[in-house]
Amino acid sequence: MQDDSDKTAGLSLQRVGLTYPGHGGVHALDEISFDVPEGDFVAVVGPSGCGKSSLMKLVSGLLPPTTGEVRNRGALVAGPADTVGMGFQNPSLLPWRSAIDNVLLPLEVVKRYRSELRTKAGKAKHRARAMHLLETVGLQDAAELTPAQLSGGMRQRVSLCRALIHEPSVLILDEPFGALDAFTREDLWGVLYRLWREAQFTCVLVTHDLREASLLASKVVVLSNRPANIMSIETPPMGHPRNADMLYQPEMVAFVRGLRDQIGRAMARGPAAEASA
Amino acid sequence: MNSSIWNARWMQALSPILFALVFLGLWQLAGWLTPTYQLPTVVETWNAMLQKPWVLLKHGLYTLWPTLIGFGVAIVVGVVMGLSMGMSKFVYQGAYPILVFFNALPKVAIAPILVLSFPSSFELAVWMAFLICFFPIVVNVATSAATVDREMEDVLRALGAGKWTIAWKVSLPQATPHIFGALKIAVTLAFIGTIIAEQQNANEGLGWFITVASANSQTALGFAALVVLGVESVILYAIFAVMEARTARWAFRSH
Ligand SMILES: Nc1ncnc2c1ncn2[C@@H]1O[C@H](COP(=O)(O)OP(=O)(O)OP(=O)(O)O)[C@@H](O)[C@H]1O
Ligand SMILES: [Mg+2]
Repeated sequence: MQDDSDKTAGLSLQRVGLTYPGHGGVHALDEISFDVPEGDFVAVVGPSGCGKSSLMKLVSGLLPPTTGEVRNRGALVAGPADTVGMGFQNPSLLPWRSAIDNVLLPLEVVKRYRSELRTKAGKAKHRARAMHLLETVGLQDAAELTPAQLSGGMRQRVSLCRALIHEPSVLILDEPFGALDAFTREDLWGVLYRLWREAQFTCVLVTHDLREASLLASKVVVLSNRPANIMSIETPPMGHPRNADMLYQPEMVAFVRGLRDQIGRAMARGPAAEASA
Repeated sequence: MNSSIWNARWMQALSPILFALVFLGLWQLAGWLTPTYQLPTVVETWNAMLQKPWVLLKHGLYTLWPTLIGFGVAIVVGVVMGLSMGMSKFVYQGAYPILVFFNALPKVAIAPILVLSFPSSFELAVWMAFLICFFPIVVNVATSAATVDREMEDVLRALGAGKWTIAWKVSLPQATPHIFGALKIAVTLAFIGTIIAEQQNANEGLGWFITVASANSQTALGFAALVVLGVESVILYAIFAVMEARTARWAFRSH
């Protein structure tokens, strides 16, 4: 372990750009710079196809940026690092594993845990941790069920637990609740918020739901059409801790409307409108 | 409600036995009506089996071993190759046409050529069994391994998982029911390979035994050997059918 890492630095993107390689490669991201302080919660919103998912691939180290750099706790992100947890719209659980065994999957992959799982005591310890996580999201009775026996919302909860079991310093969520009905979604906002308040990981949430972004995040990054640039970074008018009722307060309603107008303007004038023609 | 006796539960359980009895009855009848050297009756076949039980068992085992060995090697090589093919688009694209070609090639045609390379009947039988099972296994594993959910892959890759880890944790378990399904079919094919090999060049094994019995017009003895072969084949088929159903249980646990 080298120690050029700074525990207080959090996540930092510096003039990050991405052009997909290949014939007529898509210029997805132009020049994105923003910082997320350690333990903070940032939401990324923007028109469809502007490059949000691509940006998350850069942050997680799955893709290298074409220009610029991403740093996590001061250290350059040069490839996948097990300090990141990921969740997607599709919970993509392994159908042959029970909920708890799905949650435990990352530990079988991450080096520092793999050796611990070889002993019986280590296994029991981590199983207990997984069980505790499942309890936190209200799935204590569903641990032994398989994904086919779970509802969409329950699957997404399992997926959240799986993204957190290896105690990542950064949680990246790409439209995690996009496929859920409105009630389940609001329910899961609470679940995610509580998890974040308890574990204090740095969270980056990509979402199409501006209310979701405003309710959960400390900062909302608004991206323009492709190639994405930052249009603005907005701060919701409420401090933490938050609750769902705040969504109905006039300041918050106005804030959400402001976000909506910005994205509407971006979509009206962006180059993607030409490209898709 | 259709409550006719033919749909009763006990009747359904009994029906395979009934049909087998009818089948044996028809066979017996046909045997009576034709000369023994053309079609022996059930009783004659049974007597032939009782006459030389140990000889039949010996040749049955001679046939079983190379089949199992060729089959086992085909599983190991086929699974490893199928997984590596599934992992790389380049290899998948490149190797698939060759596999299809060899899979489509009638293996009977290969036997007389392989005889030159493997004069020992045992080796020849192993190779034939291997060749016949190998291709369906590779194709099934590769196809199944190539269809890994993209986001599942991202989740694991983001944790530093390499291709082999993903293959081991996701592709292989996902492919397992398909593999057993392919094996179930392949194991019966494996016997074809062994029997062809033994009929080419051997002085033991059921393939050889049937050829000799037929040459001597001992048709009842040939039938007895066929029964032994059928039993071996069905037992192996059943083993893999059970494995397939067990490993595929997750695919149906949806209530
Ligand atoms: N692997 C890839 N190769 C080439 N181009 C890609 C690849 N992945 C994404 N793109 C392109 O990059 C652009 C941004 O895609 P991305 O998935 O990041 O958008 P997004 O903002 O997440 O969209 P959505 O909101 O619909 O999820 C798109 O034009 C897409 O076609
Ligand atoms: Mg996306």
